[in-house]
Amino acid sequence: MKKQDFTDEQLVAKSLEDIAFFGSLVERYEKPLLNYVFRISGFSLEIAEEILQEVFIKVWKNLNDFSSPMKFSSWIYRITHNETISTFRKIKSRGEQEQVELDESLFLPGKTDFTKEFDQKISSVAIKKILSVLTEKYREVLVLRFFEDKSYEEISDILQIPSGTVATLISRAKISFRETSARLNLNF
Amino acid sequence: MNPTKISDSVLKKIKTQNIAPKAKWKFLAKNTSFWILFGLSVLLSAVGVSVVIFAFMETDFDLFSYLDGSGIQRFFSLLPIFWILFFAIFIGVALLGLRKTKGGYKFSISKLLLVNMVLGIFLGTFAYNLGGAEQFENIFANNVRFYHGIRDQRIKRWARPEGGRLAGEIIEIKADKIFLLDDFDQKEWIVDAKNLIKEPFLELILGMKVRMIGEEISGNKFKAKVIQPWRRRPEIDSKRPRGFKEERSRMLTPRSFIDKEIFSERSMDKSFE
Repeated sequence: MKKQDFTDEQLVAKSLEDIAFFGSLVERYEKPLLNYVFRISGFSLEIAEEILQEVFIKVWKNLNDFSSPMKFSSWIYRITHNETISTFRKIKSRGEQEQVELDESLFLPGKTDFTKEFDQKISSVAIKKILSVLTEKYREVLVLRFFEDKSYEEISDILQIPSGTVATLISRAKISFRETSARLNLNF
Repeated sequence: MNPTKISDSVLKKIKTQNIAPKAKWKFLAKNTSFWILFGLSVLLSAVGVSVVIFAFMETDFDLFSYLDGSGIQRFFSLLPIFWILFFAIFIGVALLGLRKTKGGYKFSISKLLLVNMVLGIFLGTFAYNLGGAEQFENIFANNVRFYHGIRDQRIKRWARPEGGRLAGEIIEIKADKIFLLDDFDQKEWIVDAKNLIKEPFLELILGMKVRMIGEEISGNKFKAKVIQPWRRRPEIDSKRPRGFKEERSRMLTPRSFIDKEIFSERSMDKSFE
């Protein structure tokens, strides 16, 4: 059986016996997590990579803390989210500006179609612009729902909030998104 | 970016710094400690509930209108604030503990609060019915310097003859609605109950502890207007004698204070004449 054929949970169990399997986990998640860090923070590649390195070290240290029924992807997204927010606040408290202009391709919606949700078409350029001005909590849920294709249950595990709160947040975030698009004359 | 760049650097760092995953028992211990915190806090909140019930049972709401101060002052003076706060604090700590357990975030604060409160109230009521509240309260009264026991406060409230409140034990019953009473400072009083404005809901007998609203006539004479039993409910006593039920039902029946059978052989006291 090839490493690629293992499920995340199997790779976690194998990693505790052989660190090479952990390398496979890192390779599996580095690209999606890098995109996730970009989407919620707008950090440069350099900072995003530093964050990810720290994330994977934390994942390795806390590997014994991971347990089903939570999905491994939710668990690693949670650690990434916390690390990104922590870095974001540290940088903000120092009064530094580390955000860069992100590639629009990062804001091409995933399987959970943004256009379908909003009943109208919207360009990735407009999405990027609107998300950048939304509050942190609304940006987070919209990114997880529409760009990372996470279910309400997964978002609940990642952000550590009840599923009901996720639904409320998404609903409010969509209202805020529409209002912001109207304010910025980015009606779609 | 080379897709293996991060994995290479992560694995290298793990190997060179010899970083090992933390042991499973540490995570288990951490999670267990939050469950223990939750459990202990719920138990302590239950202690709070049981003493609040005990305090309410000991509170003289029936004589509310006779107490000093404004309505709000009287109301707050009767509330067991300390124990209500005690309950609230430990409900908060229990909530925090539960929220920090694995999966605790899945439940809303309101749901967790409701669960904790229901548990605390249920266990507290259970502890009160077992007689635990008085014991918990005594432990506090005996060991916490700033805390004054509910019983002591109540005794203090009723040891104010100059303010029209007196309590103690009936030590001798004399004829014509007059009896002798030992207050809680062992001072003897002659009580005149001829002018009661409210019939007592019990039969006054020798050895009974009572509380009274009235007027201090002189150094050891008290004119009662209202007489009530000291205990607002009968003692829960496992050693209670047979026929206790009958006695209790009799106490709940309005009766004339003066029972001819009790007083017939007693001599008249002329102190009030």
